[in-house]
Amino acid sequence: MANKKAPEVPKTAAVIKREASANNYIALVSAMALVIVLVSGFIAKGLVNSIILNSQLILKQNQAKADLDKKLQDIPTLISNYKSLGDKQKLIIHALPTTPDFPQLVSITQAMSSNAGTQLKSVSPSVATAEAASGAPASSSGPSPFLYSAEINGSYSQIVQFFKNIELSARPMRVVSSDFSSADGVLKVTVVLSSYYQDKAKIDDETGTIK
Amino acid sequence: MSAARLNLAPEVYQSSQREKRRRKIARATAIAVSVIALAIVGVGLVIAGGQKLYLDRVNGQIKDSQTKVKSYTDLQDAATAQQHLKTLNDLTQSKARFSKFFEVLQEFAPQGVAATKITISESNAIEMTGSAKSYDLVTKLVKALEASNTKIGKNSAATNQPFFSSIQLSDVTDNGGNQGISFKLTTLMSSEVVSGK
Repeated sequence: MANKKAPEVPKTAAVIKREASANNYIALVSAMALVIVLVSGFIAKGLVNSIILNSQLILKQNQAKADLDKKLQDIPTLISNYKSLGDKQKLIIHALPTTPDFPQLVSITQAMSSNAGTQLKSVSPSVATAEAASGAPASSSGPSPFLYSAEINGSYSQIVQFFKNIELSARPMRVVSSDFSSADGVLKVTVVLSSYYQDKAKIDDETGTIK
Repeated sequence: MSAARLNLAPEVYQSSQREKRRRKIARATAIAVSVIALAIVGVGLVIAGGQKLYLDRVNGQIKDSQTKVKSYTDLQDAATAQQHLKTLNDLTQSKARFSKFFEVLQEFAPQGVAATKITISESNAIEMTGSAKSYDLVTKLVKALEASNTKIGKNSAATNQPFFSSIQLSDVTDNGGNQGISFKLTTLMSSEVVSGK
């Protein structure tokens, strides 16, 4: 069976004009749709980025809010406990001051020395830590060491007692090194001690950037 | 009176109808694509708007909470005391009992041996520079330190942890004349010595 072929339409001027008009119409409609799709795509891309960023922001803000709520819940107990410390509040400040407080260290070392029966000859801050302490602020995340040296004279048992007193000090100290020498039956010790200080606690909320 | 419509040029008519169909399909496709694209944008705007509203609300709540936190005047001091107490506890836990080292040294070191410099690291490793009257005394000191708490000393037992481990002797030098022997010794203090128990 032979295929039935559509009869050809004679290409008259009217037919050509109609076809051109239809083609123009389709091109115009397609162009408009394309413009709409492109503009929508551009806007949608921005919106997707914004939605992703906002989602991360929501997560972080929810976390921050939960932390703050917990903080608000704990604060009354914390303050109540702090007030109940009474005189021990000062002891804590003295034991771990917010600055190196070298004058206090001199006083403590003098007390430890006289208690042990040794003679305190000199007390001086370590040059390196003194420079560091004067320039950099104390860290609140952990204790900062402050090195200083003391020279004491005494008998062996008195020196050992001095080391015991260091261990009993309310302000924590660690012996870093000790040099021994003796002259005229007197033991002379130059001891390098490390004491600590720590900045005030950070109570302000931290902010961060979400990329 | 009735009039009959006669199509004298069916091919031309069909061609006209085909053009109309093409226009219709093109228009419908363009509208559908545009509507979908605009709908996606619309949904995105609704989601982003909702998020913005939610964020504004949470932000307001956070600011309220921050204002409440700042209203506690003693908070800074209380938080500092809490933080410092924790640090003090940690520092006390890690504190080495240096005096205990002297007690042990006095108990085990033979006569004629003296320390001239002792350095202690944060890991409780001790570096001791000393002088002795003879090489034998240096050897005796090392042996005594190795055997401390396991073979010699009060309550010593083979099952005990030795007071000193990783003992290393170096720079043993005869200084000539009456100056005797100088030496350098490094060792690790056991937790028993460090804690003073």
